[in-house]
Amino acid sequence: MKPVTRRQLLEIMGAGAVFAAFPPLVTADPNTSKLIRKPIPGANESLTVIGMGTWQTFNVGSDPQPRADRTRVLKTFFANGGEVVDSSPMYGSSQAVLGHALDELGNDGGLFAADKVWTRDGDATRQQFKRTASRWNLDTIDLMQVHNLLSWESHLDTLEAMKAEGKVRYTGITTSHGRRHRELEGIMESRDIDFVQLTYSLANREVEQRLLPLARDKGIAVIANRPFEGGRLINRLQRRSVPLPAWAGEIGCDNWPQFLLKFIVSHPAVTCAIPATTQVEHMRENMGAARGALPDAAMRRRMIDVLESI
Amino acid sequence: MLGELDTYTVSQFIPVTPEVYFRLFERLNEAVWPWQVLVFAAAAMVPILVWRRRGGAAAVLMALCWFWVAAVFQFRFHAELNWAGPYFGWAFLIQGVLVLIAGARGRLNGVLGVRAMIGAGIMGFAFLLYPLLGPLTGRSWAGLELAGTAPDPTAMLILGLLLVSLRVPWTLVPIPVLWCLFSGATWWGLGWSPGLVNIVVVLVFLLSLPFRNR
Repeated sequence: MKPVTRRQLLEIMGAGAVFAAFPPLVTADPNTSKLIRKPIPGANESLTVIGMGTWQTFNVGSDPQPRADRTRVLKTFFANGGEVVDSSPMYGSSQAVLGHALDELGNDGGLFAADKVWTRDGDATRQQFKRTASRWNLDTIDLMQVHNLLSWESHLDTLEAMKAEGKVRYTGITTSHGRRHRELEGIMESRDIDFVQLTYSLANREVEQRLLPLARDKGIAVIANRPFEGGRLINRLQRRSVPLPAWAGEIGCDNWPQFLLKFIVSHPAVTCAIPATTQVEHMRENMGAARGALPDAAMRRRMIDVLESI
Repeated sequence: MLGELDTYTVSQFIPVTPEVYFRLFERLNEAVWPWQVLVFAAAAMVPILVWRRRGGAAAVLMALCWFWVAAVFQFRFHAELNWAGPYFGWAFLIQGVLVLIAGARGRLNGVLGVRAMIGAGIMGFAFLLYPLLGPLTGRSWAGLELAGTAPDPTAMLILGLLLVSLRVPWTLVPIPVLWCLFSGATWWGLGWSPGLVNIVVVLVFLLSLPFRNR
C-alpha cells in the first residue's frame, strides 16, 4: 500500500475544520488538539498557520555542524505540522542550507516552498527562479514572490506567465517596509496576485488599517513576517520579566512566542506567520501556536492592552 | 546587486546571526592554518620596510595581504553568507593593485612627524591589540583576527600605513575606510560593540590628516 504522505495526513486531519474568522473560544490541550489551518483564498488548499522564515537563521554557509543543527530545526518544524518555509536569494546561503536539510530529511511532499525574486533586472525572473529551485533541490517552488517590490512590474508579468505555464503555483509580493505600503496597496488593487507578505505583529499593527482588509476583500492570502519584530519583542518581554497573563491558557498559550503568534494568525485576513529560529526548542514553542483555540476579537483586544501596558 | 541598496535598512545588511559571523573567523583560521602565521609575519614586515624607505617591497607584501583577504575571506567565506561579499572581494583586489601602483611610484616611503606617529599607533593597534579584543570579550581564540588574513586589521593596517608617508596617497583611502565603516556597523548590528573600534580608527585617521609629516 502506498504510504500516506505527511501532507495527505494533514489534509485528512484538517478535513472539515474549515477556518472561520474568530472562532469561539474553546480551551484545548495544545499538544493533542488538531492543527489550525487556513485556506488559501480561491484555491482548494489550506496551510498550517505557523510557517518558518529563514532570514539570518539558516544562513550558515557550508559549515557542517550548524547545517546539521538547522536540519534538526526543520525536522522539528515538519514533525509539528509545519508547511510554509520562506526564503530569498538575498538570504545568503539559506536556500542551499534548506536544500541540504530537505535532502537529509527526505522531502516527502509536505513542504510548501515560498521564495522570492530579488533582482533589479526585470528580465532575470526565470533565471533566478531556476537558480532558486536548484538550491532548494526542488523541481518547482510553490509560491514565488517579488521581494520588497523590486522591479515588481516586470517580475510579476513573468511570474504570472510562469503560473499559467504551471511552473509556479502561486504568485505574490513582499515588503518589510512600512513606507512602501501605499505602493503595495496599489499592487494589491491592480494585480491578480495570490499572496502578499507583510510585517505584522502585536507591536506593529499598521497593516490592520488598510492592507489586511484589502487582502480579505480581494481574496489574497497573507503571510506575516517579523512576528517578533526581529526578536526585539521577545527580548523586551523577557528583559522586563513580564509574566504571561493567566488567561493565556484559555487560548492554549504556554509562553510569550505562542501568545504573540496567536494574535497574528487570529486575524481573519492572515493565512500564516513565519517566525524564524535557530533553536529546536524555540521551534517547538512556535509550532505550539498552530494548535488549540484562537483568540476572538475581545481576547485580541486584551492582548493588545497587555502589550500597551508594558 | 548593489543597485538594490536603497531598498534596505542597515540591519538588513547583516544576514547572519552573531554566532555564525564569529564562527566565520574560526573557519577562516582552520582553513588557512598555518599560512596565517606566515602572512602575519609578512604583514609585520611592512612598517619596517616603509621606514627603511623600501616602499616598493612594502607595497608588494601589503598587496599580497589584500589579495589574500580578497580571495580567501571575501570570495571563499564571506560570499557564502553575504551577497555583498563578492563586491568587497573585487574591491579588495582593486586595493591590492592600487597599493602596488602606489609602491611603484614611491608613494609609500615612511617619514617622521605627528601624523606618522598616529599612523604607527594605528598599525600597532591593528597588529597587537585588535586581535585580542575578540578573545578578551568572550569570543574564541580560534577566531583570532590577524592582520594579513582577516579584513579588519588589514584595513586598519593600511590606514596607519598611509599616515606615515609624506603625502597621503588618496587613491588608497576609500576602500579601507568603506570596509572599516561597513565592518564597524556589522559588528554593532551583531551586538559585538568592540567592533565599533573600526569606526574609531577611521575617525582617528581622518582627524589625523591635517597634521603634517616632515
